Amino acid sequence: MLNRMKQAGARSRIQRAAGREPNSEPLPLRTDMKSNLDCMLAITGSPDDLIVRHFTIGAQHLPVALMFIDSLVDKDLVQSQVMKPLLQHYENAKNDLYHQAVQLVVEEVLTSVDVEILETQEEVLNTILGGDTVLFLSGSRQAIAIGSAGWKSRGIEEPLTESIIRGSREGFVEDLRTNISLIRRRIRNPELRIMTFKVGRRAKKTIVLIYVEGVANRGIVHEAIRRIESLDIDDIEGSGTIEQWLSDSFMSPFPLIANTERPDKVTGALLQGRLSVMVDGDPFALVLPITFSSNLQSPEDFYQNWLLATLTRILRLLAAAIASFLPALYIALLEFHHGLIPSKLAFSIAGAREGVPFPAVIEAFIMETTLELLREAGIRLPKPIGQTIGIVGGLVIGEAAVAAGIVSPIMVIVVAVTAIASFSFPSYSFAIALRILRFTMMLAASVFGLYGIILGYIMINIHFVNLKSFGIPYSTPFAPLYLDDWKDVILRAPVSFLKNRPRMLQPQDKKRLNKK
Amino acid sequence: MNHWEYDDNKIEAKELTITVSSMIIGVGILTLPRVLAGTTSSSDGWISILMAGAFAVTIAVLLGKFAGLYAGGTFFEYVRSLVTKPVAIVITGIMCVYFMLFLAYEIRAIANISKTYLFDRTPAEYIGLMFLLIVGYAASGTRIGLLRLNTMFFPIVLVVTFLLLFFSNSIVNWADLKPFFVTDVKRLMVGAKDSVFSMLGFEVILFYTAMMKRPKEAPLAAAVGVVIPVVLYVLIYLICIGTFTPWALQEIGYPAIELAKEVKIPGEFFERTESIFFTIWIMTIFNTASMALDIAVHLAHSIVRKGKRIHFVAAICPVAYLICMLPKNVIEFALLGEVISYMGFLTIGMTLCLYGVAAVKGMIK
Amino acid sequence: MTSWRKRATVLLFLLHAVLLSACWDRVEIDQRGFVAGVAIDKEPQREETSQKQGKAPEIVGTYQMLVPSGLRSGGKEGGSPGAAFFNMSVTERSIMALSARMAAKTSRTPYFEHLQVILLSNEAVKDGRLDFADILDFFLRNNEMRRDINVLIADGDAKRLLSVKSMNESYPAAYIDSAINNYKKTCYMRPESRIGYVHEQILKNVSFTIQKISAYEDGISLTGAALFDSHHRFVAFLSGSETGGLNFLKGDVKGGVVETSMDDDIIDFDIERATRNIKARREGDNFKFTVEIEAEGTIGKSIRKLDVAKLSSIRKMEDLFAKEIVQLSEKTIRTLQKKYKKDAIGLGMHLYQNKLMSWEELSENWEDGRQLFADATIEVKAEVNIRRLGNINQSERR
Repeated sequence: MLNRMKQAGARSRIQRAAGREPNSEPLPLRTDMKSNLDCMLAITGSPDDLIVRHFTIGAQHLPVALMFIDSLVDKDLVQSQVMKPLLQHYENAKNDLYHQAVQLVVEEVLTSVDVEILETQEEVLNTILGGDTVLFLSGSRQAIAIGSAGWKSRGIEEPLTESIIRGSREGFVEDLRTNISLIRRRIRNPELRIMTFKVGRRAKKTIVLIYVEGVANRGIVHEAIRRIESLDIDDIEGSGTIEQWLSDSFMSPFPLIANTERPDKVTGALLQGRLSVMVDGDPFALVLPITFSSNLQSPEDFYQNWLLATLTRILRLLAAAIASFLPALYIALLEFHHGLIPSKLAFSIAGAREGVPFPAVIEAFIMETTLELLREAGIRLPKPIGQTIGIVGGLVIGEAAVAAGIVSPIMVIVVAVTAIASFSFPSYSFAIALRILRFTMMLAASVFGLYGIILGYIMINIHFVNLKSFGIPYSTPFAPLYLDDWKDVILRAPVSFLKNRPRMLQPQDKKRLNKK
Repeated sequence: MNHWEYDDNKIEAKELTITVSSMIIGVGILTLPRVLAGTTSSSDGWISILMAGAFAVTIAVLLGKFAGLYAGGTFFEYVRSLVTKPVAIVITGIMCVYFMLFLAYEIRAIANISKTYLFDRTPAEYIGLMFLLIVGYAASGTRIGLLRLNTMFFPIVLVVTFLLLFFSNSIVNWADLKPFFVTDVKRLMVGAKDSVFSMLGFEVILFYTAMMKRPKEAPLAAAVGVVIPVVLYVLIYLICIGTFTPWALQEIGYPAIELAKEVKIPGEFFERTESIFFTIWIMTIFNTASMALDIAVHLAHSIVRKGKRIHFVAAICPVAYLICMLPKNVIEFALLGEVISYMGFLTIGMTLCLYGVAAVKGMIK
Repeated sequence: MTSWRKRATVLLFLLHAVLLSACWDRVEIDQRGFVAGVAIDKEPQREETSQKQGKAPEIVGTYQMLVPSGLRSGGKEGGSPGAAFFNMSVTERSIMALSARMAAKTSRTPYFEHLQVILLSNEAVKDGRLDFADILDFFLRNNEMRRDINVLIADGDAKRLLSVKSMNESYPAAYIDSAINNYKKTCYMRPESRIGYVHEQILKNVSFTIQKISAYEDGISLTGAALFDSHHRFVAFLSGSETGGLNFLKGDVKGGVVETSMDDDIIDFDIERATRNIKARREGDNFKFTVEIEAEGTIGKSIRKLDVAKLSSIRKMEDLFAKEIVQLSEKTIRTLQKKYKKDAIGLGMHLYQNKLMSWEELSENWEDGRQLFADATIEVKAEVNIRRLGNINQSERR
């Protein structure tokens, strides 16, 4: 945890706050404790929650001071781990403390485990702002940092957006330490690397990059580090912002980096050879790189029988097709190609549409837009009402619209099926991408019918093949053709067949099973 | 930016096979059964197809070997090293024009067939224009991306075609295939010539071998790539004969699509599957057209060094469009097809000559 | 972006807006006038005038247009479906003109993509000035039609048949269409004659038969067949039993009943399938055919007091049924060979396919010219296999 202090970026911010040029040499602490303290108070503007506790230790009554920020610190810790040992230890001390004071205090007195010696003003400020306590000793150029962070954070709960039937029910929380602990518990491997970065000029946030050394491809790792280090913005609001900064292309609606609240998804990805980025303060972890095939996968697939998993994936693929193309197909069939509809159905539809004033195109757009509105509203409303609005609202409004003669019943069915299909993905960002696609396809279909749909489909594919996520083409393993990887894309082969990690990630260690 | 690049942006042998197959499978198959039924009697057209196939495979292997000689550089540079620069420019220029005409042919074919089967009143010009725009969009991306599109569309087209052939089992009258072997050799040769026209497209080996990881595998990959369409053509032809009888087959405009019209899919859910079939077929025609444009642009770009790729795309597209709208009716269009086919022979001939020159100059190891 | 790029982009967007504003082919599905059936008759009245003028007679085309709201399955409650269809007739000189004229009369453009049946009156087809192939040309060339549309020849007035009432079906064309598929239950009607099949036969220059439809009491009857010669001219109607024999000879029997008598009582044979095998021999200009028919099925009705569980009774019944089939077939052969001299059985094609006769000979001399078909010897052999006996053995004992 105290490693956080060791990044260069931290220095410049503090220097700027101190009215100095960033990246100039850090100011060392002076021996005079009072001037040190005054410096700190001046830079931070003496906020109310910055507490300074003076006391003396030892027989010679060496003045020492503790500095910490009230709202960030676990006061019990400070009291029991810092003050108590200091005061108790030196109750009856008789020796001279001055020259080896710091060393002695660190080695013999403090019971806290998180201890570090500081030498510059920047480091001190960083420590305090991180929630730790700094102990100044009068006459010493060094200060001691003691870990004491303790703020309230949410407990570990089941992730709301990604519930599955079988599997662990733990989800990430906002506190980065807890999140890392969730990962470490699952991958107890010395090769697990957690690299820390501090990003953001005005609001520094901690970002970690996690990967498994020996599995992840070095090139991807270096590329990811390069991208994170090149970030130069004021504030990273959440992992979503980082995701956009780290993505290869901002023009594509498709997610190039996945996000998840589930630790098991992250660890599964790490062991495949992917990397993960987590931001302090955001429960969503990023997983990169991502190709199209990842959107169809869910960790649940691996907890179940392969047959069931394969069928579920096929169902998801079907759902993807329905969610993107069904309204467009509806428009194309009903407006352009009546011959394609079986005769009886055609007559029935024609009969049903007799009283409807709008052409199928307008109808489709109206209903789809209404559904989007309902969806957004459902998210914002308080829980009990939100659920109801979603389902009941849709049906009731649909019924009413049909009764009023604005839309035909078939349209309502189409829209409902599309909506259900779009909810069945494990990846929310992918579902969003499909929503955008759906409207584009509807536009294409309303102009050129089936021809428009196929041209639109071709355009999407062109987009795919030119898109790259951290150097990996988005359409892998369909193109370039890696037949080996197909064992885990739509088909989920029985576990004994999943011998190798996905070739598309070019991992260093290819084998998963039977390493002998 | 020097990102780390994942891949060397090269294709493997099986991707070259798919590329060659995608290029060959295009508009030709839609009319070939009718043409063959006109020149050969009964069902003997399959012999013509096989003859043409054997010829095409041989040429493809030769071209593959030739392309292996300049796997690192471009066609133009290598030709320039074999013969003088003006001659090289002429040869490359002819090839560029050939591919541009190919592109125009494909666009016009799509416009014609879509107008017949998918649309009623939409002007053919707009259909063609939309298609051209998408092809241009594809060509302005990366070259390797274009080849990946082949890999993505090819399985779909194959599956749909095989489904079609599979379901047509119920409407085929196998007795109509008899009698066998009644055509004389001369007419078979004429049929073979017509078939070879439908198999042109394997010249793409010359240009895409350069992008392979192991160019030595090119000839074999190309051979397999030619065999697949040949098999497909034979199957479609035989099934068309069995479904329509040879006499009716001569009279049907686009037999493959009419076959889709006839097919009964059990369950009677889809009645007129030809729209779906043709819509999927558009994918493979798109592949052919985008490769044609890509090669034309590549060739032009290698002669004229200045400018970026997108400039050439923007320059060639309008020219191709104007050419494709020139023929006034289907008959003139067929004439254009003949011109292109003969030009194809010319390009193959030129390349083989160059191969000979390379052999003479001792450039083959 | 540089300024010219900006302008180019804006221009492109405008262009797209212009292009997208015209969707030429968008037609609302309820604006279509679905045509389910077409009937072609000859216009009788102006016969003399056109004969004098030497022009082709006029034809009356009747389109059966559907009213979708009358067909709505499971619509709102309280709305009673009105009439599901209406027929509209127009007299013109050619089919194309018919369509044009019809389009001017109806409120919705006629739309043929769901056309199911085409009925041609035998009067219209018999007339030498109206070419059968000509009439069909429109239906074959137009992309809206499928090659699956059924063509039937009507005995008498075709228009009338488009108005038959049916209890089960919503509109007459549906009634006719589903009746067409009943050849699986009877051997006295021809299997469906799709327009594609008719086109192929015309191009092959062989004689062929098409399903016949006639009015029968309150409904329709599809027994019998219409015989056309190799120049696609209508020759005559074949009766039900002649059609039955023809079906056996062509191997087109998919079901039906063969009835014969045994010991003065009637026994019935329920056919499941029948195949035929042709063996042909040629000696110069003499042709000898042996058609071997093999039928399989169940006993439909047995006579009383016959123990069908005995092998001897089965054999006896099989022989009787076989005799009946042979009789039926021979009657047909006589009619086709002697009366009409048209080979609708496909024997000529068989010769060509097995290289016993060249194409030229077939087209010139088989039915025309030297009329080799009429002089050929055709022998029929039948074998019946009774596979199942039904649920009971005897309905009464001695």
